[in-house]
This record gives sequence, C-alpha cells and structure tokens, in this order.
Amino acid sequence: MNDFSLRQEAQVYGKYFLHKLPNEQTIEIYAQTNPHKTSSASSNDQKIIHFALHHPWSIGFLDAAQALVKSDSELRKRLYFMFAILESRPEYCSLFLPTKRNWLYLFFIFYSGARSVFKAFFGILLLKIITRHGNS
Amino acid sequence: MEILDYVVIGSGCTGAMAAQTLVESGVHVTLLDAGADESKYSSIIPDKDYLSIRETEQEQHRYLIGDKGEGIAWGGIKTGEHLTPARKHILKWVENLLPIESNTFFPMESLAYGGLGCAWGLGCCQFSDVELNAVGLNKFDMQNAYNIVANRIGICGAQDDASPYTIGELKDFQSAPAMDRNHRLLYQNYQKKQKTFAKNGFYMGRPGLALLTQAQDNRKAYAYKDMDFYSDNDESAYRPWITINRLKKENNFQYINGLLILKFKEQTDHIDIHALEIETNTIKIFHCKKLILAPGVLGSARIVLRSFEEQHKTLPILTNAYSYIPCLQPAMFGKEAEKNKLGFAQLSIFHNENGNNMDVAMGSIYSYQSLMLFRIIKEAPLNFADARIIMRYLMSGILIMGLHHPETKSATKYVELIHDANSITGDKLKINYVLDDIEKNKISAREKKFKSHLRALGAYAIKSINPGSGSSIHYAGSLPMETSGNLFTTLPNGKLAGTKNVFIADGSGFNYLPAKSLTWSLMANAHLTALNSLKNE
Ligand SMILES: Cc1cc2nc3c(=O)[nH]c(=O)nc-3n(C[C@H](O)[C@H](O)[C@H](O)COP(=O)(O)OP(=O)(O)OC[C@H]3O[C@@H](n4cnc5c(N)ncnc54)[C@H](O)[C@@H]3O)c2cc1C
Repeated sequence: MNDFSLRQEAQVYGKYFLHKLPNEQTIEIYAQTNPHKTSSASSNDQKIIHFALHHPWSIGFLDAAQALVKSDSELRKRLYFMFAILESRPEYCSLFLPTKRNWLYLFFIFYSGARSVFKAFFGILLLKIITRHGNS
Repeated sequence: MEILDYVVIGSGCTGAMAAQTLVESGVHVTLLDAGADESKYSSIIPDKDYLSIRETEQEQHRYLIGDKGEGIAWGGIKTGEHLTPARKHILKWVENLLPIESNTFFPMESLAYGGLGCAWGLGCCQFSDVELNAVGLNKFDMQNAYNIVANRIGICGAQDDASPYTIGELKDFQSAPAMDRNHRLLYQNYQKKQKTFAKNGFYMGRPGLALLTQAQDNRKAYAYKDMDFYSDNDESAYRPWITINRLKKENNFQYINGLLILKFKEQTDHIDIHALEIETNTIKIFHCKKLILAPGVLGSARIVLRSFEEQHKTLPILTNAYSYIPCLQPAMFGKEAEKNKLGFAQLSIFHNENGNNMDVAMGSIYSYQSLMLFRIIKEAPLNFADARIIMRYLMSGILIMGLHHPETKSATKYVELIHDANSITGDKLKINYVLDDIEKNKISAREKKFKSHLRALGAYAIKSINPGSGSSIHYAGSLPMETSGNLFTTLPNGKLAGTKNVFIADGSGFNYLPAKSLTWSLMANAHLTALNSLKNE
C-alpha cells in the first residue's frame, strides 16, 4: 500500500519538522535505522500513513490528533524516529537544545499549545474520514 | 582433574568486591562470568562535553541513538528503556539465557562484564542500624565494611540534612560535585523551608555517589562533561570492571568469560560447577574448593533452584516500588543549556515518616539534558512539532525525581523455576509480584506527600510514571538470611544453608529492602561474605 521508499518518507517527515528538506545524511540515517522493521501497522495505520505521505500538509493535524487519541500510532512512531534523528545531527541541534527566553516566551508556549489543540480537533475529523473512506 | 581454590560467579558490583577481598588475602581466585562486553560505541565516543559533541560531531547519531536506532524506544514504558546505545550491552544474551515468565514483574538483569554496575547511577546510601537489623546484617561489621568499600570505589558526598541517610558515618569521603542551576535553586528553596520539612519528616541534601571529585588510583576527577549516560572515559564513575581490570594484573587471579553457570553439586572434597559455554552451547564442568555466588539475586535463585533440584519450590523476592516523576521548576524556564554539568542525581530527599529510621522512602533528583529531548517529548499530549517549540523553553526547568519505597516480604511475591522446553537452559523463572491494597495505598499516599513537598519548593510534578514492579532494578531476598539452616536460606556468615562451601555474596540474603540505594550495602556484605569464606567454619 505504501508506495513511498524509506528515503522519500524521510524527506516528507523531515520537511514537517524543518519546513525544508533534510540533508542527505539525515535521509540516509532514517533509511538505516528503518522504523518499519519493528512495525505491526494495522490497516488503519497504513491508511493514515498513506494519506499523510500523499498530503504532507495533513501531518501536523494527524500528529496532534493521534497524540491525544492514539499516541503510539505507527505514524507517530515514524515521526518520532525522524525527530530523534534530526536531534542527533549537528546541523539541526540548535533546534532541539534549550532556548533562552525573551519577554514573549509565554506567548510562544501558549500559542504553540493552543495551535496543537486546534490541529487535534481538525485532525480527529480527518482521522475519521481517512479510516472510513480509505486511500487518497 | 584441576580443582580451583576459590571460584566467584559474576563480575558485577558484588562479585568484584568479593573477588578483591579474596585476592587481597592471597588465595587463588577464578572469576567465572558471562561477561558480555561493549566496544562498538565506547571506542567512538569523543572525550568532549555533551554540548560540544552535539554542536560539532558528525558521528554523534551513532552513540546517541544507535546505528540501528536501538536507543530510540517506542511503545510502552519498559524497565531500562532509557539505556543509551553504549549501555545497551548490559542486556545482551539476557532474553535468551535468562528467560522470565511474568506479567507482574519486569526486572532488569545483566550478563555483562561489570553487570548492572556498567550503568548504575552511583547512588550510595548507608542503611541505618534498624534497617541493617531488619535486613539481617550486623551493624558493627557493616560499618567497617562500608569504610573498606568506600576506600576502594571512592565515594563523594556532603555533611548536610541528608547525610544520616546517605554517607552516614563514613569517615573518608570526597567533596560533593558542584550542582547545576536547577538543583541550586531547588536546594536554596529547601534551606528556607528546612524546619517545616523536618517537622514533616522530610530531609534534603547531596546524595552519596561512587564518583571521584578528586583523582584517585589512576582514575581521574569528574570533569562535568555531562556524558555520564554514554561513556566512562575518565573512569571517575565507579564501574565494577575497573576492579576486575585491576585484579587481572594479579598472579593469584584469573578471569574466564563466555560462560553461563547453570548449577553446582557438592562432592565430598570439592564442588562441581556446571557451565554452558555460550558461544558453542556446550557444557563445561569446573571444580573448586569454595564457591562464591554473585550472579545477582535472580541469578542466584536460578542456580540454587537448579542445584537443589526440588520440584515446585518457590522463593521469596523483594524489589522497591518505584516511579519517576517529571517536575517543572518554572523559575528555570527559558535558560540556555549548561555546558559543565553532572548527569547523575544531584539531590536526594528522604522521608523518615515515623522518625525511627525504618520505613524511609527516597527520592533522587536529576536534571534533564543529556538524555535528549526525544526521550521525553513523547510524554507531551501535543504534536511533535509544536511540542518541540514548547519543550525548548521548559527543558532547562525539568527535574526528574526517581522515587523508591521500602519493601517487605509477602506470600504474593515469589519466584519459581519452571520447565521450558524452548529455553536453552530448559527452564525459565516464573515470577509473581503482587502488592496488596494496604501497600498500594501507602505508596500512593507517600508519593502525594513527596509531590506536595516538591511543590512547596517551586517544582511542580506533571505526572507520575510507574513502569511496574521490578523497574527499580533493586532486588533482594530470595535466599533469606536466617539461622535455621533450612535449605534455600543463607546463614548469617553468608554460607548457603545445606552446603559446606557455597557462599552467597549478592543481595539474596537480605530480609528487608530499604528504599535507599542498596548497592553500597550489597558490596559491603559481599566483602564480609568473602572474608567469612576464608574461614574454615
Ligand atoms: C540504570 C541503573 C541505575 C542504577 N542506579 C543505582 C544507584 O544509583 N544506586 C544503587 O545502589 N543501585 C543502582 N542500581 C542497581 C545496581 O546496579 C545493582 O544493585 C548492582 O549492580 C547489583 O550488583 P550484583 O553484583 O548483585 O549483580 P549484577 O550487576 O546483576 O551482576 C551479575 C553478574 O553476574 C554475571 N552472571 C549472572 N548470571 C550468571 C550466570 N548464570 N553465569 C555466569 N555469570 C552470570 C553477570 O555477567 C554479571 O557480571 C542501578 C542499576 C541500573 C541498571
């Protein structure tokens, strides 16, 4: 069902976090660590991943929704692997280390939290549609 | 037929101490061990601080998350899931060679060179006199043994409110390492509320740690590189293999690894030791005059149950109830990462509820940095991308408290060796560990008290994570110490009842399990047992 290679997958997930394509080493490491190898993806999981890979704009919504309703889903697992890989690349480490606060920091925290909750609402609807109606 | 003099089984903290005592007394010692080693990652970790590594090292993913991503744990919370790739070898062979059947007990065992001590958190506590009494140990002998072990391994600590629970009456100890910002603030707040805390039976201070803050015996002083979960480059942290490496240079010591010891049989003038050579899967038999078992509590249970061949025999088992509690200290939010930092526990908090030094619970407090953001991010109920933004502000204010509760025996906590045709050894350990409602309620009431006291210091618990019984990695009590001489018990001198020359040097004899870090007491007892094995009684 999943017509994306590990490397293509890495590009989509990397872009979700970085808003740009991850570098070649990151893609290579994702392919090497291969989060699929310990997978037991259900058919719903496969539908969701298929949708996410074909519609990368949806990943934030699906991720937020599943964080609430199925935090150990296959999509979250693959995103989690990409998160860990990006964190262990020197090029991106500054995105993961503690950051110094400015006077707007509380705003950023609440804004990001509220955004995730909003995405979760929409994501839950999306999950229902995807799992009911299948692909694309 | 070669008959060896003294054979020690296991190179963990207790085996190392027993072997050292015997070697120093001049007898010939052979240490038989499974001895899984690690060389893949330890050799590529640069001798740099954590932040410099993160910022510059191209190969860092190899030892931070593992070549095959083995350091990325996904799914339910399991015992030992936080082990980093360079420490994962402590679990090598365990699933196949030490099979366990249980849905109530989730222990961590090791067949590594150095055992669990390759990854231990170095926390050191002396048991109080009443605790020693409940455990079954002699307080005068133990006091002396605590000092001897401390001289060997090097212990640092401080004289403060917690010292009666940590370094106790230890005479020579090194100064405690410097605290990071997070702990300094928490401790300052504690000092302001010290009296109220004491009224409620809570005491906070620096933990005893088997860590050198000054160089000793070719081991360097701790250099605050915050790489404690990954490497032992400077050997400032005590690991049992440091002792064994040193013993290997002595003429009266030999080390043989690659063996799984299955059982022993006492003959009239010697003991046969049946071992499985792990690589070839063949049985080898060694002979010795005296045998000192130190394969860990569950390991000893297996070997003794096989050796005595009694069907359906159950043995008691003890483990501390354990949970870890991530807390937020808002005053520390939005601070940059600290370069010079200690990864081990920096503060300990003890609850001596009844003021009688029994039934004391212990919290060990750590900052969260070098275990990386990804390990903690999955706890947030948010999408990963937004959670990352938030956590970068919160991270510098995260404290983790590991909370241990004391434990007593009961009929619903036991191990049994059952037949298993699929296992290499033909058997497996079946473990049942069920707490009754009174125990559960007591634990949860205590946890609430710890949380409320941390709150009073400005650290807010966000959740409590309980990975299940066995996750404390503190085990004891399978061959209880008593004078009855009954089979499956240990005599007060460490001899296994029903044998002439078999001794137990690990925690199997402990009748009670204080919540405090137990390993210093385990090592002190191992030293005493080794001394007793030298006597002809
Ligand atoms: C992550 C972590 C943190 C910890 N933190 C602390 C702490 O801060 N403070 C504290 O007090 N304790 C701590 N502990 C617990 C501590 O590590 C153990 O109490 C201690 O190491 C037990 O030592 P041991 O010698 O009894 O057994 P083990 O360490 O289990 O050693 C057993 C040895 O025997 C060998 N062996 C076992 N079975 C066989 C067999 N059948 N044949 C041949 N060889 C065998 C193994 O190879 C190993 O060398 C921690 C443990 C871990 C994993």
